[in-house]
Amino acid sequence: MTAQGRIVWVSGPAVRADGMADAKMYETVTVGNSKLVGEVIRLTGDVAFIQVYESTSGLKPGEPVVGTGNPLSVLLGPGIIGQLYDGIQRPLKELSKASGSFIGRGITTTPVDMVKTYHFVPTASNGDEVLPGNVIGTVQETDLIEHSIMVPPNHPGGKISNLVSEGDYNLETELATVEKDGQNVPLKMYHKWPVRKPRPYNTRYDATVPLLTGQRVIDTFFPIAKGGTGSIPGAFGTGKTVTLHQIAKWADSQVVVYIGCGERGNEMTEVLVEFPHLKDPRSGKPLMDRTVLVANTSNMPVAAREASIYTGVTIAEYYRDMGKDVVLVADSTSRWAEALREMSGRLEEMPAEEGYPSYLASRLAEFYERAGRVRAAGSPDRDGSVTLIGAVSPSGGDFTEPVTTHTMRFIKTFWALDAKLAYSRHYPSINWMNSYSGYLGDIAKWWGENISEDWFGIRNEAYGILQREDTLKEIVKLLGPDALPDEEKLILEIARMVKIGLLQQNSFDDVDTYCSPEKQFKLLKLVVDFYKLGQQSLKEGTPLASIRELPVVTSLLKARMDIKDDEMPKLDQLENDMKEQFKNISGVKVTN
Amino acid sequence: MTTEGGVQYSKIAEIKGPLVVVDDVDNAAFDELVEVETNDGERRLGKVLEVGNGKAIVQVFEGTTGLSISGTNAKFVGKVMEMPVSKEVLGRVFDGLGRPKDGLPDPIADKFIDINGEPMNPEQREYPKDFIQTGVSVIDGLITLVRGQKLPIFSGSGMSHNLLAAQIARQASVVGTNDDFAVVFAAIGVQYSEAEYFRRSLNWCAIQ
Repeated sequence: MTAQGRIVWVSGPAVRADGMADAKMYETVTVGNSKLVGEVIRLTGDVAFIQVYESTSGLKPGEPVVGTGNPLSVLLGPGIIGQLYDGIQRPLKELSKASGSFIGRGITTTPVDMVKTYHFVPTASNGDEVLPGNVIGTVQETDLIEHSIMVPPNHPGGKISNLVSEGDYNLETELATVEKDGQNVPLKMYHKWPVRKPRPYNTRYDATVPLLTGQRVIDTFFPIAKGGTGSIPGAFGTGKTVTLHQIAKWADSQVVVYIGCGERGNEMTEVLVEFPHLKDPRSGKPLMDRTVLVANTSNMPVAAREASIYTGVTIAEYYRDMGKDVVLVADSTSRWAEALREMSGRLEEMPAEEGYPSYLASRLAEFYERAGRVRAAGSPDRDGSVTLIGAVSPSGGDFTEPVTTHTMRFIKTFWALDAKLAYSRHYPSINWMNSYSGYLGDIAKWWGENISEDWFGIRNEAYGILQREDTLKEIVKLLGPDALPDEEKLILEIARMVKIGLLQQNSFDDVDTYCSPEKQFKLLKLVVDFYKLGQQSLKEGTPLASIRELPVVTSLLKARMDIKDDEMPKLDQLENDMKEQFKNISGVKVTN
Repeated sequence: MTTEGGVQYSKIAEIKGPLVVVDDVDNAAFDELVEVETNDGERRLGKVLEVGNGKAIVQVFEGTTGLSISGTNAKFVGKVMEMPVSKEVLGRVFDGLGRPKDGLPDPIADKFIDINGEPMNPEQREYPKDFIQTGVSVIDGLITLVRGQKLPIFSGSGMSHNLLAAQIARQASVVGTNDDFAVVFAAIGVQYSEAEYFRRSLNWCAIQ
């Protein structure tokens, strides 16, 4: 029995309707004569409180409200990749066909093309017993994505019959029937899943594999693990969006979900224009073939902004269940929190800090807990991960505001963007003293096994130099650099090399935009070696000035742009040059 | 702004600040335009902020000074606020409610557009890339203005942001295209002298 009520009250995106005793919490309803999409968020007696995902301008009391019987759900099946969705999974391309350049109201479309055919290759066979989550076959969704067709997690499972043979089918084709207790349930290429409910998995692993982003300051200094959580707070103009785009472009995951939540429309356009032309560094295919975009730009209705985050994370979990590594980037969670605040205000709830609802912290926790590296439910065994990265836009760059402080409780990697660095053109403007990563110890093993055993030690040495520099800077401020002994001046010099040669990275430079882990390690090692050689050289009486003037210094600083990822021998050559030049100035014998 | 037709109500329940609560309202819509008529026949415009349970909360754009519980009428116009548009609006000066402020009659409208607008579909946007020449060397050279972009001017009191804004409005043009280009200048909450300055400076520019 679906609820059929009448609007009694309208205020912005909040609507009250009576006669809704049959409505369920979080059920999707259509509101008014123009059939706007809404969701029930509170029930009192037979009055339902509804948040409407479209503009309510012109809505009148007395208009009908009809329940759909289903919670807000997304459709999961092939065809999602490469799409640009609004907050409730309506494809914006289809909307523009219906209403032109502006988004009309009350338009219904299907999230994916239901008649497009895909080449289905069955992997199960008739008579097999299947459980929820089992893979029954695959289709090639894009050049990059092999899409597993799974028994939906909310499906009872049972015995397969009438399985179709290999061939081209569309989404509505019944691929098989599953029989359980005398009941036949059809299986199609798609199913629906409520966005607010995390998809089940088998077991959850520790986050021990790094998510490589090709960004040195992230991978080397403040790494994030696959299945981990990270946050990137920064005042406006500090380069949040560029940094997030860099992660979306170069992260070594198979699927990227990018949520533009309350940010500029032009930023989504940038992704749409740029990604089809960019090549995935590993496969050489266009990046758009692995990307899903969810957009609720700043001028789109606020209630759908709240939903956009859940829509995105549910899509991410779906691809995780196929055994893929998924990165979800949300820009920005502050706008999402503001949407919560706006709805909470309309609901006349008791405000907590800065007017945010008291459940802000638990909502953020719920969201970030959907990250993880897991063994997916069903067979065959598949390991996938969802990594969540959220931007936070604290007004005025004040990291003590509620969204930033609550977010910090639930994430393990914190990339603090710094306006000062941004204004001095140090990009990415990740402040190395305020940022941290809780995954460092966990992923050190991976670097040790795959890149070099020395990685952890050398990384810590380089970071130690930056920390020393930070304390020395205080003295320099008071007494000037001349007050320092040569050993400490050398530290300032090396810190400068770390900052220019490693931390800074030019996202608009063809070579520098992505840095392979091997190159990252080699560059790091070269700088640390330079430090050791410099120290030794100083001890033997070489003046600091001669060390500073070594031609290798400039080569080291430019290596990030001059030497491509596949030109590693050039870095070895640079190492030899460095040793040679030190020998020439001081006769220092190189021990390594 | 036409406010013909509509349903008139005279039961005002409450007036506070810029808000008027109208009782026993039937068939009013959210965001609907309301014309409030005072005792002495003065008409002011407002819009519905909240509606339901027989009440409508109306925000009066021109303030509630002089309104009383008895004798005030609220007419619900039956549509949201719309602005008449056509090529005729070029060169004209309007007040915040779209009424002519230059002593000339209402422009002839090709169509009426809901001032609340609809969100632009991000899929349909073109990425901003056309240079807008402002003739201000520091802007053109270093922090270029691009067509389809927004560029706030951050300023404090006593600084000459109005001079700069007027200069940009006067001089802006897209170089190298023959596309239509118009400047809409909105002066919000400025003093009379500043408003006069803007009018004079844009008029002067037209004569040149």
